[in-house]
Amino acid sequence: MMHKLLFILICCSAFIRAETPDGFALPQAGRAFHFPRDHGSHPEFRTEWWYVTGHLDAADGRRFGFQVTFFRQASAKNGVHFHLAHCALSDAKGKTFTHEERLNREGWDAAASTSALDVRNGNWSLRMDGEELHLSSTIHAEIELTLNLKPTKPLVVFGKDGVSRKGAAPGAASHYLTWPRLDARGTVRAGAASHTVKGEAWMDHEFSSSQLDEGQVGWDWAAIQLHDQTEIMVYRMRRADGSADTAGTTLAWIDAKGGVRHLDSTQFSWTPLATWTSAQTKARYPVSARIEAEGRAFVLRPLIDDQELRGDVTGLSYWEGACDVLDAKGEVIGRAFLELAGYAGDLGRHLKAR
Amino acid sequence: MSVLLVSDLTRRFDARPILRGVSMSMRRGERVALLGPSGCGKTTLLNCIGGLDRADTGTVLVNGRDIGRMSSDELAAARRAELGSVFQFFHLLPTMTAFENVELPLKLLGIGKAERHERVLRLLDRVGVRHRGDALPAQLSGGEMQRVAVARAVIHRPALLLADEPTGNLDSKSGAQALALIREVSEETGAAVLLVTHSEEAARTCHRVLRMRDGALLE
Amino acid sequence: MMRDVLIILRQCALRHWRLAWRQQVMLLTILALGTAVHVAMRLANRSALAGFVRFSDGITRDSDWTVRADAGALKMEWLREMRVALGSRPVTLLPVIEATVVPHIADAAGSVNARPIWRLVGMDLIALQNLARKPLQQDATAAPNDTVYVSDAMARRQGWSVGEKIALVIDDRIAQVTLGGVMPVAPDMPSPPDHLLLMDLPRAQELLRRADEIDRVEVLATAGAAFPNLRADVGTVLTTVAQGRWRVLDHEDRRAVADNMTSAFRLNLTILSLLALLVGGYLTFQALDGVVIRRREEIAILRTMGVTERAVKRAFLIEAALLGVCAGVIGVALGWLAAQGAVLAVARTMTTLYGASSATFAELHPAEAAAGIALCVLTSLVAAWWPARMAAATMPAAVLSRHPSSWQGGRIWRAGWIGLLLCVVAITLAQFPPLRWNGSRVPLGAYAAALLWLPGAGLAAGALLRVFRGARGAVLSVAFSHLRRPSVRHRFAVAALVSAIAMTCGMAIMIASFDHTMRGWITRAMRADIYLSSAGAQSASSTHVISSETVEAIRKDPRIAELAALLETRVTLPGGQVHVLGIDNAFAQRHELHAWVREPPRDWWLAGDAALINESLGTRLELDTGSTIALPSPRGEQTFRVVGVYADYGNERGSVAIPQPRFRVLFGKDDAWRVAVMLKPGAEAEAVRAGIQKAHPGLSVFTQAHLRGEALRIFQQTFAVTYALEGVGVIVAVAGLGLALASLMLDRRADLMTLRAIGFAPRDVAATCAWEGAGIALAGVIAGIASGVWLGWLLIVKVNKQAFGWTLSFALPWGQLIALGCAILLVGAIIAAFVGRWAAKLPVEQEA
Repeated sequence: MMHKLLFILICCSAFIRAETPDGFALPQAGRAFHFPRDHGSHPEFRTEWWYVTGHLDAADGRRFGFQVTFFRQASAKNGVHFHLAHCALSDAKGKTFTHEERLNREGWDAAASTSALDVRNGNWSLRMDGEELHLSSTIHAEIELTLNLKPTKPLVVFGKDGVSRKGAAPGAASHYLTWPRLDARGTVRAGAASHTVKGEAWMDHEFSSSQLDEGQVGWDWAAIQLHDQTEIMVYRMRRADGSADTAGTTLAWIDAKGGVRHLDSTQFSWTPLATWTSAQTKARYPVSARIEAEGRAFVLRPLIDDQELRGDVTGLSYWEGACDVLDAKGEVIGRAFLELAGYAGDLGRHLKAR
Repeated sequence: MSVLLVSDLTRRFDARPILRGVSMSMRRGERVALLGPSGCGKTTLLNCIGGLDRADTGTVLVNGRDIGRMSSDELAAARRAELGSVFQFFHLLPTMTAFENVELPLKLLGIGKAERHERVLRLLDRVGVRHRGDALPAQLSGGEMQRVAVARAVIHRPALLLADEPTGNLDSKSGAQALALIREVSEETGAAVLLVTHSEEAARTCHRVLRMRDGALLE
Repeated sequence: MMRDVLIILRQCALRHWRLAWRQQVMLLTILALGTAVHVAMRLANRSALAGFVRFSDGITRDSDWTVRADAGALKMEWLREMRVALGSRPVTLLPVIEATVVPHIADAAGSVNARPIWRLVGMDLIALQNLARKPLQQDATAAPNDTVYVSDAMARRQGWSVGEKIALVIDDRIAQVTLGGVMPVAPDMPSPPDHLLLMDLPRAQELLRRADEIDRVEVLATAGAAFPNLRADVGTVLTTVAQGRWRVLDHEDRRAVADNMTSAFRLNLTILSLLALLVGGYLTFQALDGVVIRRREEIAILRTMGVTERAVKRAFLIEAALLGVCAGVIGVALGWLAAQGAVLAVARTMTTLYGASSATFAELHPAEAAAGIALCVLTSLVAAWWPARMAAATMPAAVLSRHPSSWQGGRIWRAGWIGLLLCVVAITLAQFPPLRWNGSRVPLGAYAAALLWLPGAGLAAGALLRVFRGARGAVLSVAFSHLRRPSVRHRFAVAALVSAIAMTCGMAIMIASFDHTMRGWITRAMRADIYLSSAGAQSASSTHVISSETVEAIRKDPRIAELAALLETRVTLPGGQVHVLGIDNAFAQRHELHAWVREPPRDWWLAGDAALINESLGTRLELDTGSTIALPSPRGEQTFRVVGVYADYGNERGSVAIPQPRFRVLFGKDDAWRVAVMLKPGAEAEAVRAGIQKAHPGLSVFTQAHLRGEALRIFQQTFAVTYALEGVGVIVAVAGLGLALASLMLDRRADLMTLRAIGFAPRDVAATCAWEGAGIALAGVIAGIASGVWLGWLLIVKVNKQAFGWTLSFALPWGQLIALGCAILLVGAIIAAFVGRWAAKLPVEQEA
């Protein structure tokens, strides 16, 4: 999704073109996707990411949430591509959250294939081999994550005619491809202990050339996997006054077979329930929320309050964490990943300033 | 004329008076004993006369010349020519032989080698230690050392011989011999002798006895 | 017992410290001086090494491993291989490209080493941000292509501001870079060295025209709980996949390389530092001995009151230890100060030798300070041991009943045979072959010989004093009488002088021999009329070349008869990097450029596997004609047969020469390292030089005469610091002489009074002392120069040959030695006269 373009972004201009003023492609309605090529990189677009989040259970009952993200971002100024990557692990039992940020220029140590899913950044990698994805990453030599991911539901393309809108401006859109449910198996090495884990993951692959629209300062996003094998993807772009930009707000239902239904901002609500304030960044995140749509309510409750990624390299902070999903009666009916961006400073302005 | 004329000599160390107006005189060939308890100022008086110390007031005339007004060079010259010293601890130069010790004053006077040899040997013979001429002081007995010391003190025929407790460090036999030697040498060379001593017996070998107490002469 | 000791300390020692404070201050100063010299030498020594290590480390922190190619450069594509081999291990690989650069100064082409040498380091500034908490403020990729970053200190020193255009000589080109900003300083990182220009890696590669090459990879492998043995593991993996292409070095290896390179220089410093210690020991002994003399009577009185010998001895040793602590603290501080000066000299030498200019600051570690103080205390205790024993053994009766005769010292010190024995042992040790260790050779036997020789010759030299006899004047006969029967103090004063003079002479001889040999070699090796190199090539380690196009362009000059290029690359062999030279054999033979240690057959170069080596490489790796040598190359390892050995005083690292065609095939390089030009008859060298210089401002162009002069000038500069250190040794020794005399005079106060009673004027007393001092100095000079000649022989024939593999011809700088002798005699006599004047004024003792 519109996960963090924590990097040099420039707001789009307001005229309709198939490319940005500096020559990057814009999402086109009706684009035909070809695989495995379209799992790979699209350097004609300015920004692209492969975003894996998920929930893992060890045999002894330990529960982990993980996030591994590979970004590609073209520098507006000289066409150099940067590869930013994040890796985070939440340990529900230990109440710990560990993360690492990494930035490299495209080249020998960071690259994304343009023919298939094969991205890497230092010793972190994600590649697809037949029907299976292999994910490998580490956090500061303290944690190693090795997972095999197998889609259990078909690939979903969000948005209308293959274009997912983030704002009113014509360029504020992306191509947004998702495996809403992958079977995850592998090992989590946390310190000296090694855990065999299995669980479910979610993977976004999104590419675009301009994301934040004028006046937007951040966004809230969630990927909800319900026990009934249906999923919800929801986001709302926020303005400075805290209100949602209706042009950039969507809730998508994915049914058990992979069919998608989009609701607009009038058809659902997002109500913050509790906040948590980061001691380091002083940012106040609404880490718990109630989402209501079509008569159903979903309460997102974080496993740990502190799941804030504090950018060691870029200096941009956001909150991204594993949550339980509860229904109106308080029963756990699924698991989710919640993303809260733009709370530690105005993201839009910060990005423009770069 | 007096060989030595001391008049109204005073000397203080810090505030403590050591000599309080000492006056005395000595004639040529005269032997004078200076008796007194320890710390009465005998050695200070001797040092002032020998030019090793300077008095605060008063004059010391040796052969009519004022020791106190001399420059250090003149003083050294006066000592070379007019004075001889004998000490309780002999003060022979340890790295020089008996012969060399006795020869040294003659060297200072620039006397030629042949004459030096002759005079030193003669004097060593006279004081009875000629056979020990090549010995270092450490190899000599106390009596022998004092003989060599006396020889060194008179080799240049001084007008005044200052002897500071010359027997103080000798057994009585050697002491008596040393005193006899000093008397004989004095008689032979006509040197006046100022003998500082504790010993009444030693004092009896002199013509005259001066007694000193608390920095003043008792007459 | 302890109470007695305390009473002695309080009643005697402290009172003395208070009453005779001038003497105590002097004693402290002496002890402190000895310590200071030692500490200064140590610091200068360490800082020389540190400067070098820091220089070679560049701005990377202590990385866990460094990967370097065995021959030539690393290829960018190998990085990917390393990453794949490392799998999921969390390792940071930092590729680095580097080159020495010098600022372009339009009219400064005339002299070598006239410009500062900087190091241009290319690193991935993006990846670097993953390590530094505080990234460069600018977006490195958005900055103009020629942006460099420097330390704040360098920017300030050069007076640069952001946006400054800086002209650099790179190879034979002049390139302009722009100052983008200063490097940030993170609190937990050492500040960046101030000779460094940092550039983004791809841009540096572009600027240096080495697009796909890097010089090294710094590997950071910080172990964590999930990867406990990461560092060792990574070393193994990288070594396994190297397949002869690269070498994985850890910090120790890098240090060893630096050690090896600076060993010649450090040897000088180490020997001199030991000398300082030795002389410091003499000084302390003399000073403490003086203390014992002054307190003898007191001790005697205490002994009569029932204080035991042991208590007296213990009190003395405790006092010595206290003195040692105080003096140690002062000495360490003084040494630190002195080192700051020495470091500058050292840095200059390092620049000349290795191009590693880095204004290092001699830092003092607590451990080192403690070691310095401990050394001072130890020296003080050792030096006090004998005086303390003497004090304790003083028979009260002897002191109190009659005036003490001056102390002659223990019999053992008066025995000349000990000195002679040490000398014989030294001569025997000098015959031992060097110790081979890890590809380098340590002439341990020769070092030990040098160390034993100094005190040995010094102690034996005491016998020389006995020749002083028979003098006409009273003054001289008194002076000579002391020399003829020298006390331990006399002997020690002579020994200290002999050690210092011998050392100085040895050094002077070594330098003269170097000089002589170098001149001969330079005359032989520098026969061409004009020499060219990149203006950036200011040191032996510089990486600058002249492109083959430039060489060809110069060749077209009609005044040039012949032109020969020397190709060069570096390969790693056991014990360090070695130059591989591609030589124009016809040219070398025609002009007889090589001075042969082993001459090859005329047609040696026809054989494909024939190579020449220089002498130092031959010595280091035990190679001679007939041996084989395996050289790594980008085309794999190649084995060569050694057919000849040539003398080469240009580098101690070693070099291998092979014919140019073979070199080009193996190393794929055609750029010239040096170019020699022969002119047609009648061509004016200076005019041609000026013409080439004008056409190629990035080159350094030298005429033969000029280059010869420069070579010798650099050589002199290299040894400048040695001269300075020699001076320290001589000053300390002469100071020792003054002290010894002062002790003697104190000891002899009663005799001085006797002399005055006999009729010595103060002037005569002073003259006696002056003559005595002059006599000691003369004995020291004669024995010192004599033993210095042997020491010089040892340094040249044994140490140099064994350690660096240089055969030097022995040259005696007679004029210099005589001047040195005269200077010491003069200074010694002047100091002695001063001491004499002081002694003559000592107050007359009150007789009983």
